[in-house]
Amino acid sequence: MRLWQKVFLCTLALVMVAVDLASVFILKENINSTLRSAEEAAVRENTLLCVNISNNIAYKQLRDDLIQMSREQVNQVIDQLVRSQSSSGTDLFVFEGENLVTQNGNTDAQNLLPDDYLQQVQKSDECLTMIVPDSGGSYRLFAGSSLTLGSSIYCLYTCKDLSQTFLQFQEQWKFVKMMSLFCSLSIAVILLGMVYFLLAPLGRMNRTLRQMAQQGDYSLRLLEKGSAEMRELSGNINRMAQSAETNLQEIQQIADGRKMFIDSLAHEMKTPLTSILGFADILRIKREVTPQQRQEYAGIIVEEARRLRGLSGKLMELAVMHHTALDIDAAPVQEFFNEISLSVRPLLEKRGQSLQVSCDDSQVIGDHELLKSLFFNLIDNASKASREDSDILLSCHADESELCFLVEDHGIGMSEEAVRRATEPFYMEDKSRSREKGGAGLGLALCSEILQVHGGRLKIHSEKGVGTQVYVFLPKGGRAE
Amino acid sequence: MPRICIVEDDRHISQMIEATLTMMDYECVCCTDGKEAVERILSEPFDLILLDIMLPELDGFGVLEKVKSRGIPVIFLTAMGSVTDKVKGLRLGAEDYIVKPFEAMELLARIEVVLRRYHKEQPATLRYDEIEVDQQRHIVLKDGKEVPLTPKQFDVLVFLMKHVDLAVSREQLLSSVWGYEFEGESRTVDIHVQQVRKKLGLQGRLVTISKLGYRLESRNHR
Repeated sequence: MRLWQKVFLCTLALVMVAVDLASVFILKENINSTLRSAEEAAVRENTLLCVNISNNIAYKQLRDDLIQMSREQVNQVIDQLVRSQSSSGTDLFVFEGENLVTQNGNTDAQNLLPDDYLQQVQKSDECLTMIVPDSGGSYRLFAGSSLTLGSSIYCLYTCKDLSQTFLQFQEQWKFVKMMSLFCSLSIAVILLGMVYFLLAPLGRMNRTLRQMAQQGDYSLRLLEKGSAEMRELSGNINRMAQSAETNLQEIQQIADGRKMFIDSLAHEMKTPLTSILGFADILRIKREVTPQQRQEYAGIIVEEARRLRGLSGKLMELAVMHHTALDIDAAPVQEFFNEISLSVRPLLEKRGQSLQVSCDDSQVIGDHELLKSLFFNLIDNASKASREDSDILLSCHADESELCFLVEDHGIGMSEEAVRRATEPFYMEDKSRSREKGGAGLGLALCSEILQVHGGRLKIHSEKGVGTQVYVFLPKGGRAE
Repeated sequence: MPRICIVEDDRHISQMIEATLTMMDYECVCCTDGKEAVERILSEPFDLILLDIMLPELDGFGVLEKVKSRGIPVIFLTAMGSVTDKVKGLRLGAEDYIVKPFEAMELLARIEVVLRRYHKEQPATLRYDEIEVDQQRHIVLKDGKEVPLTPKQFDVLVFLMKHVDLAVSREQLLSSVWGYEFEGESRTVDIHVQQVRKKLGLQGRLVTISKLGYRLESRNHR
């Protein structure tokens, strides 16, 4: 069952029960009080008649100077009295024991009145009332009291027709039923409108949420309208959608980055593999290969295999950096630079280049192996970009918060686009030249990763044909966190 | 001999392709970027273009669009194995698509298929020493006398004669004679090669190379 149905039906049932109970209760009270006053009036009339009869008997005794009236005389007086009362709308019966003495009107009292009521009246001193319905649908109110006249006990009953009153009750009852039905209907309509109005935002939310869930469209937003709770709910859902959208975008970006990396990696691996496979296959299937050809083909195979080795080495470095904890150490920059110049010397000597080092006496804090790899890469790049017999400068100075390193060359320089994209994995400004020198396009990507884990940053300034300056900034006290 | 234009920016790969094609006596011209390729293709006659997709200056798709009017068949060479690239290339009118890295014989086989499609008039007769094969009439003559061969034996002989002095693997024979979908064993190839060798008296010339396959060797090897 839906919420609006539940709310509607429950409220409707409650209201209807309350209204009906109230009206039934009021009606009952009304009936009871009417009957009570009718009974009281009947008792008063009955008592009055009894007194009247007693007085008449006493008067007759005095007037006729009788000590004891005979039974017949008493009956006669009573009969006269009863008959004289005929005009008042009330029927009268007088019994002596079981026998009817006299009556006016034509009510069949003997058959209507139950025996136990007759006996009770005989024994009691008070006036007793009883409402007797008959088969014809009419109601009679009987009031009976006993009085002793002479030697016998007489019972006087008055009978009043209450049919009119009961008919009125039935009318009222019908009216209450009609009213209740009408009230229920109008309340139902009002309730339905109210429930619909109050729960409408819920339906709206539901539709939007379904759209979000089915189409994965987290850019949808709910209208923040309706009651305070609904507004709060919509607001919270909107915030949830917002964060889901942001997360989704981030995940998408990461996934795109990964995909691009893998695509480029596949391309970078397939290029040397193509030469290797092709030349190896030629050497395999050709019947006769001249020594010259063999040397040439094998040379290319070795060269390309070396390229693959370089690529896998760089990839390993990237992977290792992501999966091993940093080994943070502090050492004077002087010492650090000495180690670097020692490791790059063979590389530079091959090209007839040299490294010029200058630094102050600050400390370098970080994973020294990674930082060495960083500078090795930068110096290698500088050396590749420079002419033979040129110098590469490596310097360091400290300001308040950062250590600033500079690797400078006077080589071929880079274009603006190349500077911007330099740290993208596999980006190479001049592919053939870069490959000739054994580059895989991963050096600067690796450098920026190393700096990222150290909380540092990289800045490249370059001009075509003039040279390149690479600035490396490291936080002075190691990683800030 | 067919003239083939190789458009490839990696020096070693283009050198390798050139070496592969020279084995079949194709004439090769190498271009290293898209612009150069367009210029040369529009000004010189070629029978086939081997086109890399990732090229400096102008990419392979661009080159193909510019030289389409020449009606020269194009085979794409690419490191990307993605279906969208493949579809794009073929939709632009490329004849075939080879994914790097590839083996020498695979490249040669694809080139042959495309060339055959474009030059319907194949050399009607192949010659190897005293053996003469009439491809149109399906007849093999040895010293002028006809040697009866089953169709499969005939195909094996033709394939070997087309690749004289090159080692041909059983898999290559299987796929080109029986088709890629044939689920036969290399035993089948061996039996056919032995029958061809026996029927035509090629002992000592159609040699078995261990772990590789067969080679029909010319007598007067250069």
